[in-house]
Amino acid sequence: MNPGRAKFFAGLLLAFRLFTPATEAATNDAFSAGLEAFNAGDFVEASRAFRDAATCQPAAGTFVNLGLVEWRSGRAGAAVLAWERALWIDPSNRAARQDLDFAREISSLDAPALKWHEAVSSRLPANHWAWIAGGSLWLALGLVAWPLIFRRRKTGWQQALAALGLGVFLLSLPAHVGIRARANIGFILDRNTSLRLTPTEDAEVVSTLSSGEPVQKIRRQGGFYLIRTASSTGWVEQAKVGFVCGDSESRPSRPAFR
Amino acid sequence: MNTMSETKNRRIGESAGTVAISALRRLAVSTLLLFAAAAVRAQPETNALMQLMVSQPQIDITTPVTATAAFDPPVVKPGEPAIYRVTFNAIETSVHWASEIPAPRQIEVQPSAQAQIAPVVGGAYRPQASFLFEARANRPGIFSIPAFYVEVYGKPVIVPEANLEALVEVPSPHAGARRLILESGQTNVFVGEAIRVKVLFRSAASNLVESLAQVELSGDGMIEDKSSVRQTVEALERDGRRVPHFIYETSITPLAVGQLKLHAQGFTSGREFSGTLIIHGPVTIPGGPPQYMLLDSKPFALNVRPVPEEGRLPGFQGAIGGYRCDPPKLGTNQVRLGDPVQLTFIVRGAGDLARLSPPPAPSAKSWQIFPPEHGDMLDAGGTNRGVAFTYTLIPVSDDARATPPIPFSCFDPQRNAFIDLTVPGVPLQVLPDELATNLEMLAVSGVRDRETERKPALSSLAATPGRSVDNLVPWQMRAWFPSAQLAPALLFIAGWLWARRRHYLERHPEIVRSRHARRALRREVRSLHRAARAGDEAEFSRRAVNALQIACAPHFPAEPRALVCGDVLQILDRSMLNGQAAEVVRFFFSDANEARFAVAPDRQRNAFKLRAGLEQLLKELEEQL
Repeated sequence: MNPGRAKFFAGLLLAFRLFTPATEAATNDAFSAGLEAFNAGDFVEASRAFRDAATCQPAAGTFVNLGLVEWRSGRAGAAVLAWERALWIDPSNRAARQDLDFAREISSLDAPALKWHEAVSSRLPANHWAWIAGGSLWLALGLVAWPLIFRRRKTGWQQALAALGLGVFLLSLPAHVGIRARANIGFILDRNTSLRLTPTEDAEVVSTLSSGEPVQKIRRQGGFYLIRTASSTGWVEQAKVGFVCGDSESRPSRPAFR
Repeated sequence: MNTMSETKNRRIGESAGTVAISALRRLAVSTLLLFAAAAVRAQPETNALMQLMVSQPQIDITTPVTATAAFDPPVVKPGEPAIYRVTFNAIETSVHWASEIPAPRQIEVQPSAQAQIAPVVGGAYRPQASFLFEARANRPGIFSIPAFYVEVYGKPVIVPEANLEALVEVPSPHAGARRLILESGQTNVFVGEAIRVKVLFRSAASNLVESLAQVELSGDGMIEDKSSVRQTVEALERDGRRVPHFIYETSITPLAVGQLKLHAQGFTSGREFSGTLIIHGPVTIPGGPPQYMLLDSKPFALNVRPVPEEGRLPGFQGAIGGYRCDPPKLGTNQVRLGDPVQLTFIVRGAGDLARLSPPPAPSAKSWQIFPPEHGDMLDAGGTNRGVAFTYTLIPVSDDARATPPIPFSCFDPQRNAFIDLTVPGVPLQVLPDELATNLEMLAVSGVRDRETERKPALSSLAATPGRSVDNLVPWQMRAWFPSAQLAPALLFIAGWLWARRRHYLERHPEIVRSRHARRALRREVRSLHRAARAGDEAEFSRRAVNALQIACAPHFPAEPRALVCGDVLQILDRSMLNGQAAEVVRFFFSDANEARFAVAPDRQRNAFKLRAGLEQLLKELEEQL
């Protein structure tokens, strides 16, 4: 190999190794600090540590712990949001599901009413559906194009596999629609949050929302969201509601590497 | 015969006449009836409102307006307030005071009250407007407010002169200005706290009690509950003796924080008592027509504090007072799923129960709760007065074992603290839907028992972060995702182009041979140059021969090592490369053969001399590939 080319690849590998361990180390440090603070009863510090860990690298276990801290601190809305994020990352996380059932039982809250395609999308992590759709689609196209490109005879198994891939792709489309819809699901963070008629602070209050109540985002205007609840539609302040996958217009940024 | 016919004819004639007469009679009666009906229909329809208005007495505004003015009392001490009362027999709004009252500077005059009363006299309302001013003489002497004009109904009316005498020593008995007394048992209250106030009217003569009419309380930041008015006549201790008082008691609720000033005013109305009156003790009620005189009271100050925010309990709806809740009662302790049940609880206390707001219906997962109904007032007297609130609940889940608690609280101003009045849950049994079979109920109840045993609880802390992602936003919603789908497409395109190229080369193998030959030729040339630099003639010659063979092999095509000198020369002939080029070819081939096969190679031959020619030849052969 050309020495210059060998140096280039070595530099790439070194940069990659510098990147990845820094993120993991920061996340693990913050997670451990959160565990220690929680066990010591310092919920403020535990909340800060778990939030830092979640910002560095969103993880299901981190959000479960963050939800427990928020619940113990009396912030039901933030707790429900954290557990929902844990389920967003890992739908099979039993701890998050158990905690949500408990919180909704105690606070008399309703779970978000999911349509069938949204319920289907909640069975797997969101990125898995992207892999399934992309992989199946390009597998099908590849199996169809392969004989054409290389002028080979089409075999039965190729056609069957292509049909299977196309079928999997088509069946995964509702899940993608469901993911898009679920991405707009949010939860009220503060108790007695006012739902207003117009996106202004002095607008008439339509109703009052409870902490942890699920809402559906319709659009954003200024510092307000137009949301739909189970019984009404109105505007709510941006800071009063949190969405499962964050505000797509202001994605959470990663902290500097330490 | 003739007689019979005549008789017959006569009878026929008589009967015909009778018929005609009766017909005419009937016709006349019908006509008369028709005319009568038409006459009735022609009368105009009466308007009930007009009738009501017409039936009311008229307001007398035609009587010439006269004014009276007097000081009450006419003799005072310097600094002692006296009431300057001006009265017109006109409507209050028709009186226009053009300028200030021309009082001497020794008298300070301040407006105090104004009102009108319109008793019915002689079948008409006779309005009487009174204006009160509080006057104080600042030094002894006799002072008078001269006559002045006031515009009433657009015409000037003269207010007569009134005199006030201020004496250092007034003769006894000295009653002072006749005024109402406004008092309350509380002067420090909270906003929203209803309190009772009393307007006292002292009788002028011994035991002679007069009524008060049109009693009004005025003041900013408060509201009066006229439905709670109570009128009594009672003897109260005044100046060392018991004097009958007419007492007008009502409730007010302060709505603003700070110091509120209240005033009371009313007209004396003799024996014209209205509403319920409770008389305590022996009193004398005057006879004769009443003399309507407007009286007012001194201002009464009320200090209103805000309800504290700290310690506010859930369910506080603004109830202020000493309240307590009776245990709630359910309409039934067994209800079927989906059937309504009523929960009633009574709030008792001495506060303003009529205005008490019930706590809102709480939200409960297993219950559908309707807003409460305001029940009847339970007037049991004193603090046992109560008001009942009824909630309608419908169980939507048979998991319910009791009604949900209803948060409720009040602020007790006596204790200066919030009191928890939360209505506790009442146990009851929710029967499942009657459509289920017994077996199903047994099965479901068995499962339910197991499920109820597993009460929800929080999980423990996660020991590890677990599954993670780089970002909560899914890939499908990121900006680069659509672009990333181009990568497989580009791969397919690249593969297609590659296959296409390969097929082309398969159809044109000479291109491949030429490419391989060029590559091999360049390698041989490099080896040639290395041999020249090393001074190795034998190697130089060998490399030269290899290069020539490689350059010419594609033209046949043939394996390069299989070509001999003649084959190379044949290529040279084709390309018109002969002469010196041919000599070069022959030399190197012979030199190579000699080095390879000769027993004693001739080392005198210098191959390097022909290097330039060889390189030129190889260059030209390469261009032909």
